[in-house]
Amino acid sequence: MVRYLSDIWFGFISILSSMAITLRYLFTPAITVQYPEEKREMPLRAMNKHYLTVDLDTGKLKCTACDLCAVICPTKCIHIVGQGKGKVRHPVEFDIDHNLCMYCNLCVEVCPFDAITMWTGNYEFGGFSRTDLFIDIRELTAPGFVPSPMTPRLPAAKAAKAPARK
Amino acid sequence: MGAMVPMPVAHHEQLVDRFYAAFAAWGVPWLVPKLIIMLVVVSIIIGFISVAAMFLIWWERKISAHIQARFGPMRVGGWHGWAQSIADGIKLLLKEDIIPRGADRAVFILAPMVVFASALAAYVVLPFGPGLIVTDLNIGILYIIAISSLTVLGIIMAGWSSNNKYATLGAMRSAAQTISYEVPLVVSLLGPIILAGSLSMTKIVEAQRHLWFIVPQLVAFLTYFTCAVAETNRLPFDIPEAESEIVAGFHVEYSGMRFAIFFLAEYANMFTVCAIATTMFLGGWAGPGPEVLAPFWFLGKTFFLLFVMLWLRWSLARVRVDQLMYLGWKVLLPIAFANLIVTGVAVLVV
Repeated sequence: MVRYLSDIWFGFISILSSMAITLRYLFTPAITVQYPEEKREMPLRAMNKHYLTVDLDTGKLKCTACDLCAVICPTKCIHIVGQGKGKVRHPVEFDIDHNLCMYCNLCVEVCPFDAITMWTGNYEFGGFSRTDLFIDIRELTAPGFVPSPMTPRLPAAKAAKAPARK
Repeated sequence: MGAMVPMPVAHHEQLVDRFYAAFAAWGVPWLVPKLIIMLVVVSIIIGFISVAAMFLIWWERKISAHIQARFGPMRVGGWHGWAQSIADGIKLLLKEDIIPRGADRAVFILAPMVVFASALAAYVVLPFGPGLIVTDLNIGILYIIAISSLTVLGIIMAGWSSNNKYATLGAMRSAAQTISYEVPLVVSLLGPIILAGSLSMTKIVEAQRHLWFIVPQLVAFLTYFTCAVAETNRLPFDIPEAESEIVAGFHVEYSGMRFAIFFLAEYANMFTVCAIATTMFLGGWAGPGPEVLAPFWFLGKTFFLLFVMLWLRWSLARVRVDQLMYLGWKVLLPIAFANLIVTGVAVLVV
């Protein structure tokens, strides 16, 4: 009989204590990120969509169409056509097939001029068809400053004249 | 809990009498205005049930979400997804209506109607405010107890006619549960009835003018509320529709509008049991402020109890079938009877 009554009593107490816990959680703020309206800050070195970087002083692409990235790419998703000789050599075609790219960062590591980067924080490039993921030089050209291994952050002097990032 | 003078009921009756007289003057038989009044009252009740159920579904989703540190519906309608239930209702209306080939068609179609009709019928005697009651039956609470037992009939019809093992299992569990919990539920309601000396809902509310019955009848209130949660098949007593064991229980074969009616009836029943608890234990429409606020006090107390039901859902885990039977027959029933005897003796002595 004592056991029976104590079971009822402790059952009652445990129900109340569990209700206290859920009530406390009811008033904790939700941790959900409302994606299209709110976005999480990407880590600086998160690997996302490629960009070809621009020399902020000359305004030209740093890329010299040396083909190193296309050669090292394990999935062979980079296609480059260069033009000119010596110091004026530059790419006229630079295509990356993001259907194939596996975000290994080898093209960035091999590049001698830091001309290509994946530290762009741009992860919103889903498409409705496979051809939407086939990116050409116009889309790859950086709209402004992008961090690179040598310059992870924009120096304050150049920040003033750099065009705003998209 | 201030003293509240009942609203002059004569005013309503005068209106109704004038309505009848107008039809009598045209020579229309007495049945026509009667039918019109019945239709209007039923439409108001069904409208109220639908709105209350849709609000409850949205509210339940929001509370469930916030207890788990989520947001719940946020998109439909703008402000915190307030239109989510409306969108869901429209979606369910437009869905294909499937009747399984092996099902017993007539019973299958009838079952949701029986469940909803019994949920609807209980609203006839809910006292929303002084004079705001469809019919003040002198056996109001007895009527509710009788009507609410009908729900299990509809559930068994649904489970049996679906020709599905999960549905049948769910219906059988539901029958066992309802029969076990009906007894302590009724016995726990006898305490307030003894104190009020009446079965009429209005008289019970008026008897609590000075002291809400939850104070002398706290044990009965807790017993009643536990049984009410079990009666409406809510967690932690939702073994008739335990998702992890028997998919969805008795309504596993239902889709579209018929499923929506089951859903509506479940939430209507939740509202009913909480409204009865408000009437019997929490002083019904009594509350401070002018008499105009009486229905809001009633709804406020009822929705607070509904919130407690949702709150319990996320606090407790589902019980096993044997634990459920143990709790019903060996714990709640003796407590309810002890409370009844103590109340009876106390009333006799005092």
